[in-house]
Amino acid sequence: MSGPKPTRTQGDLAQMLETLLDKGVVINADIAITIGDTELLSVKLRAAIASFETAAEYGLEFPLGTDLEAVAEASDRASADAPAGEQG
Amino acid sequence: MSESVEADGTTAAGAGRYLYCLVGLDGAGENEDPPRLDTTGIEGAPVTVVESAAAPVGAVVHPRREPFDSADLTELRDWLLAHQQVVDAAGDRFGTPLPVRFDTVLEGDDDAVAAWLGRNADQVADAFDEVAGCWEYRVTLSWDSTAFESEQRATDAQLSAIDRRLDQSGDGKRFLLEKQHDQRMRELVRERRAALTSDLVDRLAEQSRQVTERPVQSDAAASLGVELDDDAVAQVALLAPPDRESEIGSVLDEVAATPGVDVRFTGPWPPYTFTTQITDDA
Repeated sequence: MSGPKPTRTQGDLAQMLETLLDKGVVINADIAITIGDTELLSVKLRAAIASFETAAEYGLEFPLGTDLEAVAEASDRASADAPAGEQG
Repeated sequence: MSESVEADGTTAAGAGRYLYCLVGLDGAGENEDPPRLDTTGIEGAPVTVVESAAAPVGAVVHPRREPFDSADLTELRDWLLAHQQVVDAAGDRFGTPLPVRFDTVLEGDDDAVAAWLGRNADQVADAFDEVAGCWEYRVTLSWDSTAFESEQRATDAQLSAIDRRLDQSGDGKRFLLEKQHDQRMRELVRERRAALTSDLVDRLAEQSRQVTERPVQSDAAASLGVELDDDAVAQVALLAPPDRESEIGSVLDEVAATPGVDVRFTGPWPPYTFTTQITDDA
């Protein structure tokens, strides 16, 4: 039996983007440049994502100025290069 | 930090490299020297792959002296999207990447990045081993408790006892009993949610290399008072090879057969949740 495949829609991508802020490899090195107010940046970014995410969730227009091409490109990737095992 | 330098990282005053991800160079693409990535980065920046001389790994970078920061939320969002696209392109080209947290900038030029990779070759190799051949997937479990609550009203002994007393009580006492009723129902729903979650995690653990629960309500949404999905019970991130997608889908089909339960399955994503720190002189 073959179950449903995972999706990568715009809404899926929006939810995932938040991960970029608090996950991913952290570099602790002398040559790593940090800014004093990363906390503040993070808060702002979270707000940015929330509006993006809400729009995507409810199928609304993305906020004015969003690079729609980038959104579409990023969220359509999976359908273009579906991983091995895709059922025909 | 406060000295005036060009943000593009190309000036002698202080070179820097914005870091997207690390990639393994012992598979596809190694016959190309130097390895290339046909994509542009944040704000259209030229993206290159810096190779380590010490190990078959590379760092995907673009010249940049300072972290990105802006008060313009749209701009910030586009940066995140661009970052994600570069990591995706790197994954397509070189296999599972080690995605680096957004806004990481290393001081120095390509040589400095290569030297850093060399100094930390063992840690980088270990981190690649952790995720090799796998991608991150997300499962969101939602549950509409309406049917469950009706059923409990009919079957739970404590609720029945409270309801019987309710029928025989005057207004003053009714208020307290109604509170008790709600409390008991909330307890039952909470227990059921916990059971559904642990069942999901157990089932996914059998199909995955690693599984971890993530907060359902994002801080972002919470801080704005946005409730994205009232019925969301759990979000789980799992690390699994792509050839397990079908099996995982089948498991989720079984989970979704429970009345009121709905699952959302997304991916494959770079393994953001399953990466660690790379620390100099560790």
